[in-house]
Amino acid sequence: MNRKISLLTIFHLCLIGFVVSNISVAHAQTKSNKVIYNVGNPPSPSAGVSPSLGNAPPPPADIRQGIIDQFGITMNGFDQAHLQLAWEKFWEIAPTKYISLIRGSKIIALGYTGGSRQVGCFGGATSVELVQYNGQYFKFILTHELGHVIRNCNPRNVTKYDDHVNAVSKEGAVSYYGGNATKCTGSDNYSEDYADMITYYVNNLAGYATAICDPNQSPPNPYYKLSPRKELHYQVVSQVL
Amino acid sequence: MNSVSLKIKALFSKYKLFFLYGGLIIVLIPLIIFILSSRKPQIPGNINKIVSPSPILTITSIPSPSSVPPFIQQPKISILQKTEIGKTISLEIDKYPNIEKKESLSNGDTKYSLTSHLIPRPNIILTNKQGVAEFESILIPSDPNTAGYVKISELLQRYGQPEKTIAGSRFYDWIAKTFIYPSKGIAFIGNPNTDEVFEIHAFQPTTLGSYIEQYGSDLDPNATPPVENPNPNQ
Repeated sequence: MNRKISLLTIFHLCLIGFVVSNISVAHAQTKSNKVIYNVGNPPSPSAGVSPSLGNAPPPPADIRQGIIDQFGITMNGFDQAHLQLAWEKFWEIAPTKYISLIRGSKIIALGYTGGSRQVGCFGGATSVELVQYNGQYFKFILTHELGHVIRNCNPRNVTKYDDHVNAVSKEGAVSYYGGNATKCTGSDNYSEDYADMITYYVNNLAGYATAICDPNQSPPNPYYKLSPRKELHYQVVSQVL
Repeated sequence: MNSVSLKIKALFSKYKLFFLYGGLIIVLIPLIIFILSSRKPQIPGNINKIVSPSPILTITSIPSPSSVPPFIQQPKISILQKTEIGKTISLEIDKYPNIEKKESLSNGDTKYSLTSHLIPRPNIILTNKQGVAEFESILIPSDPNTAGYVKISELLQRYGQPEKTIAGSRFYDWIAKTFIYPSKGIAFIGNPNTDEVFEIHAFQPTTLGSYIEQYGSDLDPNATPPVENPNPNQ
């Protein structure tokens, strides 16, 4: 009798355990999780410090070929002065991932005035049409237009596309042009904001604006001069480059 | 015979409790297995399992041009898709988590905006006047390792050449293209340069014109690479 009762007890416990475990599994499977927005990693100790930029060695006699050989970028129709500016700029940003994200680009020269634009990606097609602006401003616009190439021609997990869009939602545009591109040039705000995000990161000393519509043609750099700075954008671009 | 039946009786009487519980197990285990197998797989984006009541409508016919098929249930295109077009009703959708907004539209439809991984671009569900899901837009993850990630080439292989491709998107810019299969109730937006799909649309099969009119607000066929006007005096 005692043996029968103990066997029954064990059996009852097993049955209850079986039923309870299935109920708990079902409950766990239907438990909802929060949607998490990624806007980059927490600030590093060196946040606000511009990236280490490289120094350009003297260019070869054939600067155009030198740029192809060194960086995989083809520049057609540019004069020697502007090829030298491009050579210097590419060397400056070589310590970052910038070059790897635009390798294979083809840039064609327009005149010395007017507008520039990104028109394609890689594989032989023209990537950028670029006006030969004066001096340092040429470098600024060069990196802006290639910033479009980075965004439009690379996978979104590499460009941190989602993080950037969410950064704009949370802290606003990185620049006037990034927030007003649609009315300025008919462009897309997110697209211009991304290109300016890249540009201001690799042109830390330049007090330039991308578009003439900006009421301040010498805006403070949003990462190194602006207060409060565009922290979320800085986190995103730090990861991209 | 009598001795056999007596023996059976004796055996049963001695172990009757075990026979009783054994019988219960034989009934319960298959029942539990049946219930578990009928539960739908967990979908990222966190849909609570909805035990739906008997649907008010299973098939709805609406006046339509002869080229548009009657309102029918559509198979899901993506594992991220929350509704079954033509079947899921608003009573179920009202219980979904992450509903940011619910709006009544002028045409009698109801528009649900649900949180996505992009703050300014929610997922959208539209239900018709009868409260049945007729359209859903699903944002596709950027990370190839995330469930639901899909490439343009994969969808082209699955569905064939689109009936229409339109370049230009108001949200995703001039670089994006929309691939439309109106007769199949499918469309998707992506970047052909990277082979990435940004967004999938699931809807009742319709005509191209109807798709553009009802669901094509993002289309921007006039979008071209913008010319930027820097300051010439810099």
